[in-house]
Amino acid sequence: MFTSTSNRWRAPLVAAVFTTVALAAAGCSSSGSTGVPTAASSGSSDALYKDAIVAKAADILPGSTMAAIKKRGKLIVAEALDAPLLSQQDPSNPDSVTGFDADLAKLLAIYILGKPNVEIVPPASETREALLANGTVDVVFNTYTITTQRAAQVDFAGPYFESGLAVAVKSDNTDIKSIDDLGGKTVIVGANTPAVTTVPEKQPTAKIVSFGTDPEAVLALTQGRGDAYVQDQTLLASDALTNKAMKVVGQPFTKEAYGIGLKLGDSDFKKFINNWLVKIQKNGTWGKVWKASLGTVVQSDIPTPPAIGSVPGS
Amino acid sequence: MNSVNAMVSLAGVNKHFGDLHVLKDVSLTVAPQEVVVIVGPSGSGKSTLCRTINRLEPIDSGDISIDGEALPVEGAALARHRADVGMVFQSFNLFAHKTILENVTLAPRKVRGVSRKDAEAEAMVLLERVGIGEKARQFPAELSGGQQQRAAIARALAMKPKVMLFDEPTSALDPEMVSEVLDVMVSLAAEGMTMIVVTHEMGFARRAADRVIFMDHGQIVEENTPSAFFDAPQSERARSFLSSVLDH
Amino acid sequence: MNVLIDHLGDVLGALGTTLVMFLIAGVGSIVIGVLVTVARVSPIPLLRWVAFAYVQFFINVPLLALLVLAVFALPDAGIIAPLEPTAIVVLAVYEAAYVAEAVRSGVNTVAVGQLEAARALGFNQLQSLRLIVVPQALRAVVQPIGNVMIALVMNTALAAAVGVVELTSEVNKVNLIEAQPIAIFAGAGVIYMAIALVIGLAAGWVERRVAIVR
Ligand SMILES: Nc1ncnc2c1ncn2[C@@H]1O[C@H](COP(=O)(O)OP(=O)(O)OP(=O)(O)O)[C@@H](O)[C@H]1O
Ligand SMILES: [Mg+2]
Repeated sequence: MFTSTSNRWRAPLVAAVFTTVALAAAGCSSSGSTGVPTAASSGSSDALYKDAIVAKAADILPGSTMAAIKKRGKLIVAEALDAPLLSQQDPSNPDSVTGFDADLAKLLAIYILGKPNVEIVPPASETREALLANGTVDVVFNTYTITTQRAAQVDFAGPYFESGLAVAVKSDNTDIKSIDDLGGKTVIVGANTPAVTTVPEKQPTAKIVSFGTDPEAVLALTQGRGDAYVQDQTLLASDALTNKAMKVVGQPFTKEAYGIGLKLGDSDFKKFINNWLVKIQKNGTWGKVWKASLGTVVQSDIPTPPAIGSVPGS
Repeated sequence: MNSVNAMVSLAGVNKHFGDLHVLKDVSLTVAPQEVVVIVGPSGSGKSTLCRTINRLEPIDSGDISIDGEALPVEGAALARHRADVGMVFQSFNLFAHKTILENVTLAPRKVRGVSRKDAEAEAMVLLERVGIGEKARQFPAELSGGQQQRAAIARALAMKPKVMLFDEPTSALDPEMVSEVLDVMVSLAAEGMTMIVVTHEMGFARRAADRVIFMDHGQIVEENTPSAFFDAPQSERARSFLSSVLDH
Repeated sequence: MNVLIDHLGDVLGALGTTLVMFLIAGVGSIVIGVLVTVARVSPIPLLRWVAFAYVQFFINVPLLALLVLAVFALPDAGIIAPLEPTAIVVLAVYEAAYVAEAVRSGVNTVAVGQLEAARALGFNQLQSLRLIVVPQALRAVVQPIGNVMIALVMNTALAAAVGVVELTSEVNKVNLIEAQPIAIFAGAGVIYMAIALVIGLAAGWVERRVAIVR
């Protein structure tokens, strides 16, 4: 999981600076309801939507959250607009938001409404619980790591994806091969990412430096402000793909189970979404979504989806 | 008296404020220890003349010298020159954030390099002399107008000036305080200080002045001893000015 | 009071960082701000222009942009400084522009007669400014400078974005663990409010002490 302001910008620095500022400004307003209406998007995942499954009328229990969403005609989702491969807005076509999370959100909308009608509220990592609690959004698709502490505040459907933290270093670094080599080293992490708490647990002597966005963290690594950058492996993979000055070393050393955040205590809705997850896993839709997004940078076969309810808190 | 042993000498001084010709070819020589009173109607250029002598107002043409030395145009030389010319303003202009003692010691210490101890000893002598020794530790706003003006005179004297300029020193004072300031000025004159005083106080002029200068429209129209000037003004303009002042 | 208490040690440490950043950057910004104001009212046109440009630049460029530039662009120019000192310097030069604006408004309150008296006594320009004009100007703008200092405290939070572990960054971390944003950020808000209140009260106290009796 990484912060909602991460962004894969590698253009010249001045542009990067102003992008950062613009994102920060956007971040300020995102706690409100800057809804971004999305029509059915274009792109590689179009085919997915055509034969996406739709819930049976009997599954939409009267008086349930699903029924309310159906009546409203759109699903309100907290998801990022700037998370590459996961939920990224196309700068030239703001209506198009694609990625693993974004595509699943649209499939869920189709499952409930019969059409991919999604309104996006970009969350900050800090505001997700509040957005659910006060009913601003129906669901959170935001690489939302399931933890028991969070499970006391919100319900989690899923897990729908598993990932983990990995270590990246400068390309010319040959000393650091894994998290085990980070004792006493300066480690760059993304603010509001699990690495902030995980790295000190694994390496208490490591010095942690956190940066607000992924491009800043990458710059900090390549400029030598730290010895390593610990981040979600898929994000590191996509960073390394376009930046020859860094490389990912070793295998992920944690397992992050991402869940779909729901309002606490809405067990009907949770059951409904878990059923949907099982269905799309079984019929291969889940794998296709992965292939079209994360699968474009991770050199591996389609992973096995996690079992629903398999982690504490789900 | 010739300008070689003059304390202050102005020759052919011209000054404009925009299109307004405020000083028109003014020439004036003041001898050492001489007390000159300048009178004239409002707007005639008295203040401006006074201020050109320490170059608070720059001039357009002409020459000004103090004690035989030409007035420098700017920089350290001008600052040194100003230190030798004491100035007392109508509105006192004591430094509001400093005590009376600090007001009097600041310039000797910072400009002349006198030690704090010596400066304070000297300042106390001066403050006693102008009758406000007990106010040394107070701030200007805690003093009456007359006391403030006497402090301002002490502040100027602390620099041991060669000449003192007074621009209407009693005009901002309540009537009952005018004489306490004038008394200080009279005694200063008696001690031989060279003074140029812009004032409408005829009593002071008669008691202390060696010479009265009457200005009008930026020109020196008439100059004479006080008694001659006040009793028998030569020019029509001086006569009408005096009658308007005395009628007042 | 809430979950922040459970992380008291870390939160206090981060609060310490925030306060250290504030104190150093605060003193720095007042010193720089006064110097900029002196340049701005100096008789030297080039200095006046430079001071004007300084103020305009820092007032018109967002602080976050400056922080990101200083942290990520300077290394490209071969200057790589530790994060916290970098952030402190950026905060100081940034807030100095606002201090300079405040002090300049104070300079405008100093009566011309004060400067004339100083000149008549033989003070040079610099002495007149240093001994008379600036002290009086500062006394007139204690409250406005206090407000700039309050803004500075709030702005230290932006240093979190460039890796400095100060209060906001620490509180983000606590929230990451505890997932109680409302309680946690309300708690942080109360801490910032308390700091602002202390600065405001201190400014009021200083103002009463140094006020010029008129
Ligand atoms: N800074 C200035 N800018 C423009 N005009 C000025 C300035 N100072 C004085 N003047 C004008 O110059 C003329 C002479 O002014 P000055 O102050 O020397 O007169 P004064 O004889 O001292 O008058 P008063 O008795 O009213 O003090 C007046 O017309 C005045 O308006
Ligand atoms: Mg006058």
